[in-house]
This record gives sequence, structure tokens and C-alpha cells, in this order.
Amino acid sequence: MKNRITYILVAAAIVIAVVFLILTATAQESQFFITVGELGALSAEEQRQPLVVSGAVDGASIVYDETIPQITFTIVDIPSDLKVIEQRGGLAVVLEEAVQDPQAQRLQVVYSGVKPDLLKGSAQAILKGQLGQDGRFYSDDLLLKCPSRYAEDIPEQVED
Amino acid sequence: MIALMGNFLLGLAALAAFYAALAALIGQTKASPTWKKSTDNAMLAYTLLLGAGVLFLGLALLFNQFELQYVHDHSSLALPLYLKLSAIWAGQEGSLLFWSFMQALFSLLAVNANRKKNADSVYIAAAILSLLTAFFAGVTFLVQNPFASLSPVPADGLGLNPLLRHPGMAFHPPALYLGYVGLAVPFAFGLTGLISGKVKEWSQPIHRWTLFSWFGLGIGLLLGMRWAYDVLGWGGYWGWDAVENAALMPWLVSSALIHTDYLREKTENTFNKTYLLAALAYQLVLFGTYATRSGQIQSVHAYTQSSIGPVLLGAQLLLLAVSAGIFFKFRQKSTAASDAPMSLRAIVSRLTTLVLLTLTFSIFLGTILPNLTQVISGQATGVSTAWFDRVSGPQFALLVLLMGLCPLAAMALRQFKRWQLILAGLAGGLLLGVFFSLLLGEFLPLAFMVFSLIGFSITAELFKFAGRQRQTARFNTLRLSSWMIHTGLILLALGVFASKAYEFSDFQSMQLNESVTSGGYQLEYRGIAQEMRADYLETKAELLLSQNGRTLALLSPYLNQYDDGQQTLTVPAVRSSLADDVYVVLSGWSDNGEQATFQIYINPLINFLWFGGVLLLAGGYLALAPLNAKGVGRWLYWIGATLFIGLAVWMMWGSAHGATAPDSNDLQIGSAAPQFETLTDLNGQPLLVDFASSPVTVVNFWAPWCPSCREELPDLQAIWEKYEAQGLALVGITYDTDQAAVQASVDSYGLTYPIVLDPDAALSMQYEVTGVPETYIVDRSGRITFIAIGAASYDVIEAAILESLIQTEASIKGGS
Repeated sequence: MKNRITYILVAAAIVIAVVFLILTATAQESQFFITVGELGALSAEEQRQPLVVSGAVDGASIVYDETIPQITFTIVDIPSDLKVIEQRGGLAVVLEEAVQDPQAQRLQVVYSGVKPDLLKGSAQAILKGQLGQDGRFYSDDLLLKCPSRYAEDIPEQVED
Repeated sequence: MIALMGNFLLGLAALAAFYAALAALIGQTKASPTWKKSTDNAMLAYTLLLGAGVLFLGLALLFNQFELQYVHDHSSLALPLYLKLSAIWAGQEGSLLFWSFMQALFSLLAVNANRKKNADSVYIAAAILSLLTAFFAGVTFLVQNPFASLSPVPADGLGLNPLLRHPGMAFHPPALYLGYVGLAVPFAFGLTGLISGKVKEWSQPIHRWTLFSWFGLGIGLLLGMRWAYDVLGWGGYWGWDAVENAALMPWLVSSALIHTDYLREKTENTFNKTYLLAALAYQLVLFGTYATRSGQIQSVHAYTQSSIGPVLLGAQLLLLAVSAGIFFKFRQKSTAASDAPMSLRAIVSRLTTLVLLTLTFSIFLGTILPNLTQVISGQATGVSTAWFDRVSGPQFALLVLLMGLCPLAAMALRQFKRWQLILAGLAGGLLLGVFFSLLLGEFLPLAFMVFSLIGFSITAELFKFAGRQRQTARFNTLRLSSWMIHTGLILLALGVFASKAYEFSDFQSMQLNESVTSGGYQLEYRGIAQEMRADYLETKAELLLSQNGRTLALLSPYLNQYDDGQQTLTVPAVRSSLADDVYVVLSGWSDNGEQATFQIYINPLINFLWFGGVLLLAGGYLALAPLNAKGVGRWLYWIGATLFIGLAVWMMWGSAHGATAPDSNDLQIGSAAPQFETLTDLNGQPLLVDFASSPVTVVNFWAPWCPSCREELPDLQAIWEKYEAQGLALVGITYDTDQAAVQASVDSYGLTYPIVLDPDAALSMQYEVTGVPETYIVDRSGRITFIAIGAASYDVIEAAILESLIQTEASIKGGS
């Protein structure tokens, strides 16, 4: 009986500790997942938080300074709703159209790091970082999904 | 034609599987031998049909049948043979077909193995497994058909993405599928056990199949991690991505499932738990396929999104409802077992299950949080990798602790007293904590605690090993395998933690022949070479890696450009040692390689991760040993074991990874310095340098046009002035042929120590000088005690001279 009580106490302590861990970590390490278009709709306070922004990479805007290393490029708004994307003919088409569209909302990105293998025009970029005072988005964590010539989507991770 | 044949095979297989499910159900309820026989035939038929389907797709890939959309999308004429075959599972449709085939094969094997033992209930399992096969084959046929055709037929295919052209990627998916598909069997057997009430009979097959699936998932995870490490070039191996998590979660739950089995012997009442864990594991497998294939879960790995999402989600919810319903109707009603005393071992085992489940829950929550918050608040909120580290880290640490407590709680260790074990564990912990803190050169309180914890658990496991092997005279495979798995996991944890806590990364932009120090290593950039390959341009850089003057390896990281530079493939060079990996990525270059930039990562103790992983899997393989097999089966098993371990070891350390050993004749500290013939100084006078006649000889290679040499010259002169009287020999050697320039340097720096010309670089070649300046210090016995590649300052040289003197003195004293 004594062992059973010990077990229950320890188990309860573990569960409470895990819940506590999850709550504190979530308070500090969670970020809004938004599109370029949604960025403008956030309040000034929300804009200052760490964010995850996704958009289509404008290939012509990529400038890579390998000596720092730092890349600047522009991402273009694409819808986040998969149904909308499918209606318009799939992700590859949506990305391509977004880059061509002069009306679409754009965001300048400054990424610190080596140029990732999949960074190119009409890739989908998912950037973690913060909006700077100058209106540019500063990031050191970049995920890329590519509707490339190759049919497969590839995991590509870049960590700071 | 091909398309038609493929569709025929696939459609027929789906029908046969559906028929088999029905026939099994009728055979079971009516206890009819005819229907049962018919089920057996149908199961064999659908397995063969799907096998033929996979073979057919494989042949179509092999023979470049681009009239199939799938072949066109995932292969090309230029692709190497093994990659053409691995393209079977590279895409969504092909991998579903492959999955269906495995589901069929495992159903057949699982049912056959239990036909005699569990004759009265095995057709329940046959019905469930056939229904699952029918589902996967049906989805492949109707929604994601790999046999869709193209018209007109293209001349060539698109090819396989360069990032996937890696042996690890060829084997990683099928290994994962062993686990994913295999976990259908414990689930189906669990349902069968509940419905038939034969819980004892079905527990053992559940255990075996769980172990098998756990093993498959383990290989898949480890190969995937190694692939990421070798190919993606960000210095890591795990990014907490949804698809990675989707493979980890069933692995964690099946670990828990394996452990509940040990309690089964003691109390009758654990089948409910076994069933629930098996059902959870399979639900997580289905969640994983959904995450990978629907495009709904934010992941970098996912296939391009397709219409398959709703089908998978619907099937998963249906299965969830059915498995819950059956549980509530047929669950084992509790017996008096709950009053029985609970052993310490049972506590540890239950806590392990609990932590594995809280860990799985945490990872699940982190994975679906963006979707969850999107639904609740309309604003997707996700978590970073730091969240996963923070939340899972302590839970993994707790698992390591529990692995150490397990031997303490076990009753099997009668020859050791419990306090002896505790004391030994604490001592081991303290020892390892101090050892690793010293080794890594920096004391971090948290790291010290974790190292101590790992030391504690390793020591406890060692005692378990010693105690148990002594207890039974016979070689006990099961106990050895359990020990290997747990020790492997602890070592893996050590590698993960140390490489994370002590990670070092650096960015260096280097000129040709420049040498830099990074993370305690010296790297000398030797230039780049470019070559045009089949469909890409390869640019390979060469770097000489050395530490404390000892050359370690020639590193060749490279960067391939495909499609006119549209896509690149960065392959790092990795130099592995027990202490750390030096991981170098070529990130760019300019002026034809006059300058190049590198990302450098030092990953301490990371090889414990790979070694622990291999040990863990070897243990898993051992646990799967066919205990009763004789003759050929036994031999096959051991041959398989050797091949498997050999392959794993080769994957980890055998294949080159862009690091080649330097010439073994290279001069290093401790080797004998090449003796000089008579030298000639600037005035044409002969100069004799005999190492034996001076306590310390400094040999400096230099050239007047070299800026870092000029920096060094005043320091050398100062050394000479200070130590000449005490018997120091110092000689400057230059292979420059322009004697006037040499003389000018000597005059302008006022050099008074002997300077020697080496016009045909014969001396420099003897000392394998690759660039100037290089400095060697030689003791009286002619042994090299110090090497500096690149400029060395006054302080460094003076310290090296004194060190050399101390060593010589010590060896004289030691000798006398």
C-alpha cells in the first residue's frame, strides 16, 4: 500500500511538472504564424513580438553577401488557406502568380546566415524573426518549401 | 499498356483484400473451414498482387517508362540504378503503393504465424488486417494512383531532387514503414484479444510485433537523422518538424508498450493497458501519415498537398471511434489485482510508461498547436524548436534517471546490496560529471548535473549487466539486449545533450593559404576545384585541419549547383573523433577561389549519439532473435545481424564524409625531425646544424614577400638575442630564389641569426612545408616538440622552447 501511495504521489508530481513546463515554455516560446498580408493587420504591440511569417520568395530580389553572411530578399503575400490555394491551381501556381503580381503586398527580409540550398524564386519561405524599426523583417531561422523542377518537397532546415 | 496493367493489379488487390475481410468475418462467426480457407487464399492473393504492383512500378522506373506520370515525376534517364529503385517510395503515390504492399505482407505473416496457436480467434485479426489493407490499396487505387499515364510520352523525366540522392534517403523511408505498418499488427491483435477474451494468448505476439515495429522505426529515425546531418549542412540532425515528430511519437509509445509487457506476468490485469497503448501507437501512425500527406500540418517535409487529407482524417476518426467502442464493450473488468502489493520495480516501470506518455503528449501538442489555435482563436500560434527543447529535455532526463533506477529496483540483483549500488552509481556519476566537464573545458552547472545523471545511470546499468550475467551461467540474449538498448539510449542522450550544450559554430572568410583558429582547431584554406558532373557543377574546397601543430585531416566540403544554379546541394565535410566532430560547410567563394567562406561547427561528443544509436539498434536486433530457430534460420539471423551492424557502422563512420586522413608520414609532434645536410648561408659559408649539439633548435621557414613572415621576424630576432647565450640554435630557411630580397629583409630587420637559402625547396619538402611561415622546434634527441603553421608570436615560441626544455629534462631524469 505504501508503495502504491508513493507511486501516485510521484506520478502526480511528474504530471504537474510537465504541465508547468508546457505552460511556461508556451508563454515564452510561442509565436504567431502569419502571412505577409496579415502582418499589417496586427497591432503595434503584436508586431514587436517574435513572429513566423510566410510568403513567396521574389527571386529577382535575392542579394547574398557571403562574407557576413547575410541575405536580403523580398517575400510576397500568399493566402494561408489551403482550400483557396487549391482552388487557384495549387501551391506552385499561387507562388508563381504572387511573385508576378505587382499589387501583392511585399515584405523585405534580412536573413543572417549562409544561403540555404532551396532559396530561389517562387519558393515558399517561412521565416522566424522580428520586425525591425525600419520595417524590414529580421530573421535567423528560415524554412523553405519548393515547388521545384523536382516533384518532391524536401526538408530544408536552417538553424541559427 | 503499363498503366492499364498496373491499375488492374492494384484494383484487383483492393477487391481481394475487401473480400478477404468479409470471408474472415464469416469464417470466424460461422466457424466455417471453407470460408477460413477462402480467406487464406484471398490474403495470399492480395499480397502477391500488391507485390506484383510494386515490382511493376520498379520495372517501369528501371526501364524509364515515362508514359507513367509517376516515373516522369520522380526519375530520369541519368539517375543511378539504386536511386531509380528508391524512387518507388520517393513520391506520394509510390510510397502509398509500397505501404499497401507491406500492409498486405505483414497481415499475411502475422496471421500465418498465429493460425495454429490461436486457431479459434485468428480470423478476427485476419478480418481487421485485411480491412486495413483494403483501405490502403483502395486509397492508392482511387485517390493517389501511381499508374496514372501521360500523353504524349515525354522523352525524359524530371529526376530525383539532389537532396534525396543519398544512401540514407534510399533506406530511411522503407525502414520507417517497417515500423508504421508493423504497428497495425499489435493494434489488430489487441482488438482480437479483447473481442475473443484470449488476452494471455495474444500478449506474446503483440510483444514481438511491437518490438519489431519499434526496431524498424528506430532504424528509420536514426538514418533520417544521419541523412540530415550529412546533407542539410546546418550542423544538426533534428529540427522538431511535424514529420519528424510523427515518427518519434509512435516510437515512444511503442517503447511504453514493450515495457507494460513485463508487468503482465505479475498481474492479470494489464491487457487493457496493452490494448490502449497499441491503439494509441497506431492512431499516432495514422496521424503521421496525415501530417506527411495532407499538407494541413505545417511541416517542411510534407509532400505537396493533395486531396488525400480528408480521406485519411475520416478514416482515422472512424477507426478511433470503433477502437474506443470496442474497448468499452469488451475491456477486461478489473480483478482483485489492485490490492496486491506493488513492487519497486513496478513503480519504476509504470513511471517510465507515464513519462513516455507525457513526452508524447507534449510533442503532439507542440506539433498541432498552430492548427489548434487557428481553430480556437482564428490566429495560428506555433512554437519554436526552443519550446520543444525546453519541454522535452527534462522529460528525457527523467527517462535516463529511470533507466538508472531500474536496476536498483530490480529484485534480480541479490549479490549486490542496494546501498552498494547507490554508492557506486553516485561515484560513477560524480566521476563522469567531472570527467566530461574537464574534457569539454568549460564548467556549466547544468551540464555537470546532466553528465552526473548519465554517469549514475551508466554505472547502474553496468551493475545490472554484471549481476545478471553472473546469475545465469547460460548466455542470456534477452537480458543482454535489454542492457544494450538501455546503455545505447543513455549514450545517445549523452551525445544529444553535450552537442547541444557545448555547441560551437563559427563563420570564417579566408584568403587562399590563410590559416585561422576556430574552436581550438586550425584550418588552412588550400583553394577550390570545380568540375562539371552529369547534371551539376561541383565546387570542392580543400582545407587542412590541424590541432596543436598536428595535421588531422584534409577536409573537402563541396557545393553542387543544379539547373544553372537554381538549386544547390551543400555537402559538409565532417571529421569525426570520440571527442567531437569538426563539421565544415562551404558557403561561398569569390575571385576564382582567392577567397572562400566557411561555416564551421564543432559538435562535442556527438559520436556518442551515433554510437549509442547503433548499440541500441543492435540490442533491438538481438531482442528479435528467433529463440527457437535452428539450422538455416539461425545462421541467416546471425549473418543478417553482422551485415546490419556493418552497414550501420559504415553509414556512420565508414563512408568518407569529405574528410580524408592526412599522409601518415606527415611530420607531427613526436616524430623525428629530418636531419640537415650541410647548409649554406647567405655569404656562401657552410653551416652545420646538429640537433644533438644544442638543447633546443628552432627551425623557421619564411619568405621575404610573406606579410605574416615579416611580422614574425622581429620576434624571432628577440628570441635569438635572449637565448643565444644559453645554447639555443635558430635557423631561418627560405626557398625564395631572389637573394637580394632576402638580404634586404635581413638588413631591414637586423637579423643576426643564421639564414639559409633553399633554392630548389629540397629542405622545405623534407619538412613538408605547404606555405610560409612554418616553425618547428626540435629537442636534443632530434624529436619535434612543437609545430606552428602560420605566424607564431614571441610568447608562443618562448613558451614552446621552455616546454621543450622541461620535457627533455624530465626524460633525462626519468631515464637515469
